Amino acid sequence: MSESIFVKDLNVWFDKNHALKDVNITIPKNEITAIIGPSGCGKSTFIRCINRMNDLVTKCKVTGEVKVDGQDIYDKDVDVVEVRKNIGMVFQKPNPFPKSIFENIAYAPRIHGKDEDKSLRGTKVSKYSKKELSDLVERSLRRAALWGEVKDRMEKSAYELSGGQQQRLCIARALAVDPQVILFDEPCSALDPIATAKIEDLLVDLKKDYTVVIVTHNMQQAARVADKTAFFYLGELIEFSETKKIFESPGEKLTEQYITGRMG
Amino acid sequence: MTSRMIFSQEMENLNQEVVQMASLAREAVEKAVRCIVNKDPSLKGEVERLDKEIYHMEQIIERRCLDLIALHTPVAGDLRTVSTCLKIITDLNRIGRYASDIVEVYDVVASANGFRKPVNIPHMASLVVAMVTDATDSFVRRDDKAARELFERDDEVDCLYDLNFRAILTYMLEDSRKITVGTHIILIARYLERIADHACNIGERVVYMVTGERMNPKDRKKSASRSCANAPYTIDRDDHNRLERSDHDLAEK
Repeated sequence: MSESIFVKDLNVWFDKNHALKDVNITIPKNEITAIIGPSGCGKSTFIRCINRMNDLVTKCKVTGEVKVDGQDIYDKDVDVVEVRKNIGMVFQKPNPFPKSIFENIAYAPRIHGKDEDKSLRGTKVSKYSKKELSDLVERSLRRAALWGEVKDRMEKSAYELSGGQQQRLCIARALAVDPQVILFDEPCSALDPIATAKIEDLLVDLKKDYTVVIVTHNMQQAARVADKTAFFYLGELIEFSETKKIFESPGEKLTEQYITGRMG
Repeated sequence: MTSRMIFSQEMENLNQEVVQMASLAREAVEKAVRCIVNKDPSLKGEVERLDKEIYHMEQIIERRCLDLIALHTPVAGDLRTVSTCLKIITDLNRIGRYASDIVEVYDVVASANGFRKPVNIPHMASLVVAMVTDATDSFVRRDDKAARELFERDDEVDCLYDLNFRAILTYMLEDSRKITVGTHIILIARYLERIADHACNIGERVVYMVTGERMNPKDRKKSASRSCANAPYTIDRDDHNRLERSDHDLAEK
């Protein structure tokens, strides 16, 4: 399995708070990697470094190297907008735009246009035709397993959808700009078990085409869907291994204490 | 009580029940052997009662393990402990069953007159009882080193079984009237040999429970090469002559 995300000596400070300490990890392509750990351990900070979301936080300082498909995303020539297009993100709470279902998906492709290459240094783009855009919306919704449920009400407001549907709409929205990596920050924490199961099925299906990184507090969810699992504690990467190994026979005592609920 | 405390209490109960079941299985083997070696029929009923109790405990423990998995979703060391308990209760149940099988042949063996005493059976039995005891202790103490030592001792039991088999076969060849009792003594030796195998299975699971290492069956067989060359016992000269004669007779036939 080739590498998708390569992280070397990553350190993050929020003012004087050293949030991530010397993180080194290689996340493989076309696999699901789960990030687990107690609250405040740096899970979300870590995935927000992968698409430079931390740049938006004041007094945040990031050092080290983060490469996605061999391209250093912190290189000074890199276009941050391109980075975030290539590395989609789905958040804990579904956040559809206050627009129609169709517009939620079509908005970003219309703005970005068609990518002619995959460079992060600004790209040659051309506009989508109406037909192309309509096909792209349908393809994205199908890929997010939502098409069958919304095809007859594309002009309705996205807010009319249920929580689980809204979350899948957000996933479809991320897929519409053809990313290489999708980051999920606790995508099921606000959903019921049925909606959660649908998202989990979707994650497993998506890894065929994308690299998936998911932050979760739900141990069973990590065990169910992830190929590899990374355990963070107090800003440090304690263990990164096959999910089976982490949940059956972890190599580190801290990992064992956390997953068995004996920590603290 | 917090859910964590309930889980810890349930795990402790599981541990206690497995220890209790192991103690019953060991008692059953001890009494079955005493019943045969000392020709004491009073122990027959006792062993059968223990067998039923062991079976009943297996049902209880299996249910507790399934409840633990369903309600508390154990992981890592806890998961290995639950899976180990779930596996070794089958071994303990089989040990109880073999003890019962041993006393079942009591009547035939006790009525044998003029049959040469199978000298290796008491020695074999004492080794097997010690193996069951040590397998149980390795589980209680979570001692993977002690568990690994069981495999070497299994070699000795296997060799004794082979020697018994050949010796008794010789007696049976000499006198066809001894076939019934001879066959039953071979069965006893076979049951003891299987009990030792189950003690090794328990040891293998203890190694997994403590270290997370799944033993390769080849590693287990490496020590159990079934060579009797270094066995710490011998057969007497008469037995040796009989075995040679029987091999010669078999070749001629």
